[in-house]
Amino acid sequence: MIQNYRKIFNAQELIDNNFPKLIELFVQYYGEDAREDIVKSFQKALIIPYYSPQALEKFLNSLELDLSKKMLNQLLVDEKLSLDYNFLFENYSLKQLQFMPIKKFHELYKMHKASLDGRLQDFYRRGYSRLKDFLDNMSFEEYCTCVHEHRVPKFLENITSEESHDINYFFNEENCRKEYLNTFIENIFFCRKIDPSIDSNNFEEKLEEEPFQKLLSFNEKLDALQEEYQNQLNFFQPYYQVASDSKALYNQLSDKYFKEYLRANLHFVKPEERKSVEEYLEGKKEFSVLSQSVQSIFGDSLFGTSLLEFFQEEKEECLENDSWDADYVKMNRIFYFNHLGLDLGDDYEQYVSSSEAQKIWPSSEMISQFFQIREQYIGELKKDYFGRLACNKKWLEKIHSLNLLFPNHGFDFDLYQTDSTSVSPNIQKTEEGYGLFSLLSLCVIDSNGSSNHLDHYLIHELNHIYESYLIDSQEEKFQIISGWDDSTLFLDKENESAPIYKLFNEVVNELISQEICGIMKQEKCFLFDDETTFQSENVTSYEHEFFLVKEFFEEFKPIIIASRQKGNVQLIWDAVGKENFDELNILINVFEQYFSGQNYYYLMDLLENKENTVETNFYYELIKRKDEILERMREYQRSSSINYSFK
Amino acid sequence: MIKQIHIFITNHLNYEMEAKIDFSSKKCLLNQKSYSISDSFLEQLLSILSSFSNSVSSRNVIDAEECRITIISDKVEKFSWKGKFPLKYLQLKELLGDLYDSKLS
Repeated sequence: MIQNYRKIFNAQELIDNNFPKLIELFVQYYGEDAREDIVKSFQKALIIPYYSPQALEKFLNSLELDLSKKMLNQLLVDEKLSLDYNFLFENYSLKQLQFMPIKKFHELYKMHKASLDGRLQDFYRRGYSRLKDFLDNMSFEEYCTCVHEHRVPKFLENITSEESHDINYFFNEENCRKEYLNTFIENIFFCRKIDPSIDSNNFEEKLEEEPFQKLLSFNEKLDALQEEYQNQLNFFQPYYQVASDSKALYNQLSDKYFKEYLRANLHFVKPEERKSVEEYLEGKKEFSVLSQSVQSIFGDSLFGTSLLEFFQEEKEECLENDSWDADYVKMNRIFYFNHLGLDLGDDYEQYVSSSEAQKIWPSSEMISQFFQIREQYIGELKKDYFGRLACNKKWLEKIHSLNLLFPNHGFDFDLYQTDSTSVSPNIQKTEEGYGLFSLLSLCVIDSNGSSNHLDHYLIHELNHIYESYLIDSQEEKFQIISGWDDSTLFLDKENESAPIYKLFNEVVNELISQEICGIMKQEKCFLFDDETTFQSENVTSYEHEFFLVKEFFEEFKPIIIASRQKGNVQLIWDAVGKENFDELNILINVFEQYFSGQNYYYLMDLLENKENTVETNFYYELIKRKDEILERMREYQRSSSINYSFK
Repeated sequence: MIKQIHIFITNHLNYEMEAKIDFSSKKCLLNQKSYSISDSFLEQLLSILSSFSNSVSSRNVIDAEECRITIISDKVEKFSWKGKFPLKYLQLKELLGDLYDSKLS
């Protein structure tokens, strides 16, 4: 198990070492003729395994729990202890050994064995150690006498309330008796699950009996197990360090750029409050002690809410259109004026018509400048933070050396918002001219701290890369096709139109990927997974549309495969009729529109229970339409007599 | 007056979150489990969503995460993003994530 966790941190090496095997898998699927294209396309891609520091933290937590669970279960088997896991350990890991029920029971056992005298000696020792800072030159013996006599020395009487609790507690011997009694009560239910007849009268003798002795001997093994557990975790120590250093770096940079943004927008602060803000900028004051007006203008961080947001130009549009947040915008504008010392009540119109409000009403130029500055510092924070993380540095250098035309290459801070696996097509200028170059960002730890199905995702994305092709290149406009998914990259503007066959394309890509995964399983050629974790199916939500596509895929597979390479989409249109193809595409999109997310699982439940509802009828209607389309496709193919072979 | 907000986030591979927030009952159906939501949750949600730009935005990325939001008041307003998200998008995910981790109502 620990091996699978280690793989995550050796992801790049793992991919590099297995790259020839990955090529062979694709060659096995697409045929020897495709080898050259497969090799070429994979060479024109950079696979970047990555994880965000937040995901890393969760991953390490999962690792601790998983490893602990595995070791504890094994110990139960080895020691032939047939007690329930949760009964003994609850949900605590070996890192939190002291909180486990079995450990608490052992605590009771120790207290009981120590007898009253031993417990008192322990109480004195703990008390003397806890209170040592307040006891002046009081000796241990003097302290014990005071506790025994329940007498707090005069010089401790003026101590603050926070510490006085400890003082009163450890100067009262009665608390030692209470500790034992409470521990006994807490554990008696645990003991009675082992032997229901145990009580305070027979406690001593029962503890000597076999079930409890077995438990005590098991408990001794736990300490050794914890040591072994810690040793195994030590391998991951550098990554714990990475997680904590990353957090510290983010906080430091976040503070730095927030201050820069404040400094650049200082003119928004009333003159009488500037000194206070300057003191904050010099580190002499905390931000939280600044006035409400300052806090409301700037928010509490670069990502916090500034009340000036509600004066942005698009908010004017939202008021004009009476959009969903129109009232919210008005309310926050009123807050803004209130924080600046102008209170005309809750009626927004009063502020609109007030000359006083107009005087302090922020102009659109000022607002625009304010948020431009904020955007600038957010951009700098993201770039600085992302670039300074050691794990990203080498990749950024590598990307830089690739001479990619589009600087917005996708390997940036925004990946941490999604922890997603994706392919970003880009253009590389070489001596031979322009060529397609893709970045595959493989998220090896997701936002839940898990690393499931990585081999499947890798195959899914590699197939996208194999199917991607640069159709047309002009100076500032590049047309790329990935399978049937046609898109245009512009140097000077963002991609605006959504590809028509996006979902259809993904569903077919997943069908192909599952077949390649089938070979992977057969060949036992795993990277991140093993036989127990690898799944060819039930991995992506693209499968939800399989019921509309699978038959089509099986029936027209050779032509489908051919049409998805080198921008040959025309082949499938010619084979089955573009009109039919487009109709099937519409069905897929309609299904997704109505049954995405939880609606899909709801529909599945209805179908499983054979219910007759609007949803199930709609589902069956889609199947009927799909069958009709397929029939028309068959008819079209028969009449066109085009025949393609695959492999 | 907002009646409901639907939020659907997916990357089709390893992440899917769907929230239906009902303002009158102060309930949120999150991945088919029902949660009671506080005024503070609603306040944070409104603050985040109000900061979102109302335009559709996308980045040319294959298998990019998508987020679709429908806000139902007296009218129905829809927004969507793919691969490129508004500033406080992560805060939205964290807000829903915290609710998911909290005790069910």
